[in-house]
Amino acid sequence: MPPKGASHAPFKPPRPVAKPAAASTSRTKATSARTSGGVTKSTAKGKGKARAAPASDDENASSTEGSEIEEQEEVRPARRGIVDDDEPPPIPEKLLARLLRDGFEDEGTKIGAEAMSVVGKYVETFVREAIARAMEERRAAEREAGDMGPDAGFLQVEDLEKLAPQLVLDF
Amino acid sequence: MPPINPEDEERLKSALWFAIGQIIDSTTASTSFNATPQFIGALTELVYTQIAFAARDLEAFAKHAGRTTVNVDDVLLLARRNEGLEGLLRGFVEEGRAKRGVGKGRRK
Repeated sequence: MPPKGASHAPFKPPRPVAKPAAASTSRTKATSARTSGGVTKSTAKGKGKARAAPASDDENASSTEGSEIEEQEEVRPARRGIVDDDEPPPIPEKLLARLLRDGFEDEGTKIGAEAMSVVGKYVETFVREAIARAMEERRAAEREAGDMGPDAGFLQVEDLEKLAPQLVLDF
Repeated sequence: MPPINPEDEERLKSALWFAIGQIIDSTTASTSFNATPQFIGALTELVYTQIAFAARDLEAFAKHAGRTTVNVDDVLLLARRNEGLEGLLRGFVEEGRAKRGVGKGRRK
């Protein structure tokens, strides 16, 4: 991927995000409604009332597995401090199901409910791992560059570029 | 992959973008980090692609076993090269099964 997503994707996301989480409730609701509306429409052939972002407003809703991600593997000591007991909001299952179905070549291929939940865990782990490694890259970059000014602490595309090859190999 | 309607694809990516943005928010909330919108967009692309590849793998695993329905064992195969990840997913499966009540034996 080119830096700053220059020539890469025609994809224009609807929302510039990533302000500190605290002040995000109202925006969260609005965007949630919008996005889920869109996806619902496109999933209409599925089970009708798909909701793309069901749990988005209460992050503590999911009670499943707490901290076992901490048991996860090797290296990178700095990763430890990053993963706490807070469950991140899960990726909506309907969305994931749709993405998977689009990926299947054979229309007849299905996926069981339990398998679906494990895929959710897999993707969630992928995302969290990407974020954790990006923080690590950023730390290293800023250590090298010294003062970063107002950009300090902002994860950059170049951080992702550095970690992506290994991340994809690891998953 | 069958070609999907670009409009749908864009909607799906928007939804995924949103979900990932939330995960980033919740993950970075307790740190001094933040993410640029470009970062979130790029991560969204990466995850989108990863899911597409995972779907093809899962389908192939199920087919190889003579099934048309992907089951948990197929998903665990995804993580076969990463012990830590496999252990994590196995733990997740077992925990889920324990929660739903033991005694079902190994479900296929």
